Amino acid sequence: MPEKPSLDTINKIASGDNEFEKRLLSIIKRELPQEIEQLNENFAASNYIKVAENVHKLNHKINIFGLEQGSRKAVKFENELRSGNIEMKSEFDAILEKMTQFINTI
Amino acid sequence: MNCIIVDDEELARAIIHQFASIDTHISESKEFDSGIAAIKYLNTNPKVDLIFLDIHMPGFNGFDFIQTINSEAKIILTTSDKNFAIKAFEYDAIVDYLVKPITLERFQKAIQKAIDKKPSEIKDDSTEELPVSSSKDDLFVNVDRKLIKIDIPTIQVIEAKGDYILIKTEQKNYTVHSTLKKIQERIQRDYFIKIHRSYIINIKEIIDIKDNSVLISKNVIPISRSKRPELMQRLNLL
Repeated sequence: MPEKPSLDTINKIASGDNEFEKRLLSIIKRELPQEIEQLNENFAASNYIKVAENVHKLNHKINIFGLEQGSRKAVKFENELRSGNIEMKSEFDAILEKMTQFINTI
Repeated sequence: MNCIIVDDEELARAIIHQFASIDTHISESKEFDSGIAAIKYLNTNPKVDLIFLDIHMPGFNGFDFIQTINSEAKIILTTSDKNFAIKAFEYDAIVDYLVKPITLERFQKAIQKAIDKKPSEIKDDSTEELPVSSSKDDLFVNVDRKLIKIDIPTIQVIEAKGDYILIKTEQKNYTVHSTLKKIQERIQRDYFIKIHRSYIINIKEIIDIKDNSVLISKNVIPISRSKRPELMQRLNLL
């Protein structure tokens, strides 16, 4: 069964502090599209080492949304990119799309 | 304790900052989105007790940062990569590492470890100061208001970082207010070559070359298209 993003981890980090939780979500809504854009720019420029760095950074947010399978894929994709292998790009894009759709609903 | 948070991701900084504001052992926390910005701050604010340091920052990673700073602050690494644990403990200043996403409970354990680790347990790995004599292989650079001697043949990579250059040697890294052009004039040796507008490398330190990058120590250095023929010409190719 495909996993879905959740706010459980953010709730745990915020420990009932609603203002802090709102702030975290607002940062994610701002940072996530920027990070995806950077990744795509570096990918278009075939700078796969930079793309690997982008994937690594995005993995924190993948974990924040509780996407464990997604996180494992991100680690694998990051390693593949460091060897110049880009085959997992569309698979990774699907994870990012899932997160983007999720943040648009909250 | 005064602490600084060094992470290129705002989300990560915000979480640590919030936890630090709750923790009674921490009186002040400042955030920096790059290693260079934090080093500039540390150079003028030596009274930092604790550094939360992201290992994976673009270009200038956490280990580069540790090898560059002249600070007695304890360090707590933050990472999304569990595999960095082993390497983390090669550095005496590191008291703990936190895997992201960080929870408050785990954060507080790390703070306790920082408190428990006595200053004497942290080795002084400060660099040598101005010597009496100087040889032709010595390069003196201004770091934190001190002239530091670098043995030129030990330089592996020099990277341009805005108004600064990062000089990487086998043992330590140095962030110096200078340009690649200026240092190139000072280290005229046949084993140095500029392979990218932001990088000079020591050819003798190359481990391998793959596609458009060179591996030196743990650094993957890009080769620009225009510089590749010159590099290939300088190599002893079979």
